[in-house]
Amino acid sequence: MTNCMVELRQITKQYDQNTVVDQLSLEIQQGEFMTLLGPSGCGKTTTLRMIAGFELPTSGEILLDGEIVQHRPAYQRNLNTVFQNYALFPHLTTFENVAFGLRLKKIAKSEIEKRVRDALKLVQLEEFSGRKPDQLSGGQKQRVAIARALVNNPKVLLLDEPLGALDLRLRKQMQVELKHLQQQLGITFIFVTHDQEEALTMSDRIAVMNGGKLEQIGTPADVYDRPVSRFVAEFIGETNLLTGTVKEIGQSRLVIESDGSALVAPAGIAVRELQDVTVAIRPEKALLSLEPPAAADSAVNHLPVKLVERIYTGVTTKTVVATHSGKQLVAHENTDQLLPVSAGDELFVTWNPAHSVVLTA
Amino acid sequence: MKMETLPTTAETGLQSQPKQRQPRDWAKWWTLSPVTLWMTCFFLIPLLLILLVSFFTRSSFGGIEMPLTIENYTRFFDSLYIKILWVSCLLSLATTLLCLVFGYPFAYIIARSPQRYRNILLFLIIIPFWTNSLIRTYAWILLLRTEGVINTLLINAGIFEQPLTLLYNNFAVLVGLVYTMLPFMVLPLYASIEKLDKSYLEAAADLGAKPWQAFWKITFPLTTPGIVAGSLLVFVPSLGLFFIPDLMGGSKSVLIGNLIKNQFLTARDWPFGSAVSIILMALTLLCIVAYMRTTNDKQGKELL
Repeated sequence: MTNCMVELRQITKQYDQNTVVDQLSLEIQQGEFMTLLGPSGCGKTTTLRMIAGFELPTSGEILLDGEIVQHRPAYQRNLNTVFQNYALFPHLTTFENVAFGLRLKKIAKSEIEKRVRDALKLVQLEEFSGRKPDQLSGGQKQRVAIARALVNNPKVLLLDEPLGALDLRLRKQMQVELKHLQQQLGITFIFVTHDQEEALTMSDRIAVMNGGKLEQIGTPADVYDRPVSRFVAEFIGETNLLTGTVKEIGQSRLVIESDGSALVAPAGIAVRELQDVTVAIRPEKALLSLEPPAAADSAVNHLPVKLVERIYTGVTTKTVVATHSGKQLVAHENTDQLLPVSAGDELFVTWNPAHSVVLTA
Repeated sequence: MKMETLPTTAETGLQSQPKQRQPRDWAKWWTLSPVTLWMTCFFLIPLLLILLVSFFTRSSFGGIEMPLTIENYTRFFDSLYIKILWVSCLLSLATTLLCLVFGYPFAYIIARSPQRYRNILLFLIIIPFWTNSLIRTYAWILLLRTEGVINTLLINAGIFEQPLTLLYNNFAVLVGLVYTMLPFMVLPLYASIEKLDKSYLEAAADLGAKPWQAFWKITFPLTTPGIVAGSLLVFVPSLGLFFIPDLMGGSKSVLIGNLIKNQFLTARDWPFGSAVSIILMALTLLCIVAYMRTTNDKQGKELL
């Protein structure tokens, strides 16, 4: 609690009858890179706008550095936003855009000059201080927007899909730069995106949102390797989902019957016998083999399948197979070591039981 | 081989361009011909006629005759006429400023009201235009005259004992001009404010600007094209409007518009009237050129 920078308590936002954000509670630590991740319309941008002060929550409390701020206007909150469309003032030069916040604070001219230069240096735009926004490229505008926010030394920087308008190459580059910037400055970043890869690359923690609610919060490894719901498993990365019924609950393992096969998964999840569950397996954890595993080796899950097609993606090949019931699964094969099979041939999918993730939701 | 083929393709490419352009230009002129014809017959030719007449001499019966002279122009630079021009400019300027002061909040409120009310509000601004402006000016006379509605109310309420002189002075002319010209200010301002991206204001607030600071630093500068366009649309016609000073200003206020009208209709001095018209037009043109020079903003030019 001591170094909790932003805290949302039971935040709800309704427009007319629509609940956009529903009872959302979240704690963000000082210096943390927190990503709000979810599909469009999940309420992540609305959440960010409530923290910034552009929207008033219908109910709930927002705490900024220990103070309740939800009724405080945006201009009285010590945080800054990088907008999705950058919102650079078109009538002002790069320099004046960055100096805007400082000028309002009645800071001495010489200091403004220095701080703006430093901020522009930080984003490598010193050369462009005299240009108007329409004379800048997308990536440059992006940097100006970041400099304009950071020059005010905010406690928290809010970023609303700031990389969405950039092309893939530039986006990858900016992801790394932003992450370095955040580590260098030690400022709390709250980053909104619908791009799961971006979220995994940049964040300390990810809050996955769906339908205005928090689905899961955790480190990138948590949400990727240990998703708590079907939604998270499907939204973040590729995944294979098999539906089945709990047959046996052991000390250290669960046995789930799916498609006529018994699948083993690690214990530790609250289920009861005969409950319907979903087993998730990441494609890179699923292996293909021509022979079933040795009978003694019951510690390996396996399913008999037929090859459907192969999709070349470079280092790996996406291999699509189908179970007897027609359920399609994807496995990643090393392109250099493809099994000598062609479409329609029979083979087996195997995986370590530790990689089965049992989902009840 | 390659070295040879490259320049030739470049040459043919250059040659084909003007060839392609010509038929398109013809098509453009052809489709524009009704407008061109109309403008030539009813704008260009009369304008040239006025220009021509302004160099003739007035005949004793109100017609025009030789010799050609520039005396009509030199005559204008008499202190009497310069004073009329000066007062006209001041009144038009005051009209423009008042329209801006009243029109900006008007336009702002309309542009920021919910989408479904905007058209209704704009409609309300435009409705008075459906009535003849002469009739609306008479309505103002009913309100302002000595036994008019306003004076009667003030006296009955015991605020004043003597009726106020509200009509037949420059104040009355100003009221009439502001009233008539206000929509010409509101509409371009509305267009300008409505286009303004709200995220600029959010960004300003985010950077610590209080609402009034955001207004002066963001909204106002970004709506200058609308302000300038509206000001021109008010200032220029105000200079030439003659019926409002005629009806509401009485004999005391002769403005440049009245001067022109009187030269044509009362004094029957067409050459002098034409010269004053040309001078007024030149001044107006000067204003517009000055505006074009000061603003490079495309949006503003579109509004005009």
